[in-house]
Amino acid sequence: MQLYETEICEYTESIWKNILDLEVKKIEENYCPAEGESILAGCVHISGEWEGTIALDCPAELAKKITSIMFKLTEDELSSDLIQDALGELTNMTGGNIKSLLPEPCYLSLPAVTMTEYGLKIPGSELITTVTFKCWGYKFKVSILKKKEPVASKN
Amino acid sequence: MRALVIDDSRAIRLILVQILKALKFEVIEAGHGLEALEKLKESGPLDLALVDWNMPEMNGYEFVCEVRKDDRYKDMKLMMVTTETEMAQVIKALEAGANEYVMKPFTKDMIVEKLTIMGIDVG
Repeated sequence: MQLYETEICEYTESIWKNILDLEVKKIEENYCPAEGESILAGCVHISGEWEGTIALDCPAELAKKITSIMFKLTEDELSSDLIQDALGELTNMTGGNIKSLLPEPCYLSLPAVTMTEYGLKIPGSELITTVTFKCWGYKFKVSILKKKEPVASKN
Repeated sequence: MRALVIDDSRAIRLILVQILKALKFEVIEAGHGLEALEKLKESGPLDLALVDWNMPEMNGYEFVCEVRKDDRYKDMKLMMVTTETEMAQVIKALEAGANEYVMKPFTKDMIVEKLTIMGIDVG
């Protein structure tokens, strides 16, 4: 069992149920986007007593579907701005809930969202937990990355 | 009754506006605290504001402090609707003049319950 895995499942299920009325299920298989697959990567940074990043990686197709639910629009009517807003808020809620598990005081950044084919790289961080979920046949994942402790100088 | 919904996420504003409209509120929206203060200047005192914490330009806590400095808004109910979970921060917002606090993700029932606690008749 990875650190905070149970809590990530609980929070993610609650957020997707309450905001989108969607059931999501944790799966054992890891979400690794196929080559060339567009994904939306959302992240919030946490600073303070604990430093790191909470990331939400989601296939662009699923991001469109959840935005369509949130804004009650058809997928054809969606702009990239609305899709980023929707995924940003899901990331924000996920990060905010996970922050409640961390030592206080901690501060949450505003969410950032990007569309990528390569996933999000957070330099100076190590992946400590990643949980993959399935919704409507699409996989997505929530990850916790902790900022690496600075290596002590040899001088 | 009239309400102000302040959140930098358009998706969350839309969800909150739909909840409030279903409760017969007339609703004004703002994307951050500064914009909300401008909207308040135009509208005059309202019955209620639902306020996110983490926003650009001016955050929700700063907005609450600004509103509570102005006697014209003394009867306006302020409810934080936010992902902020730290007890120290919750207390800080309540001490600054917020009347209630609800965590995201919320449901319509949670919002209605808090409005009732604040003495707002939602029928």
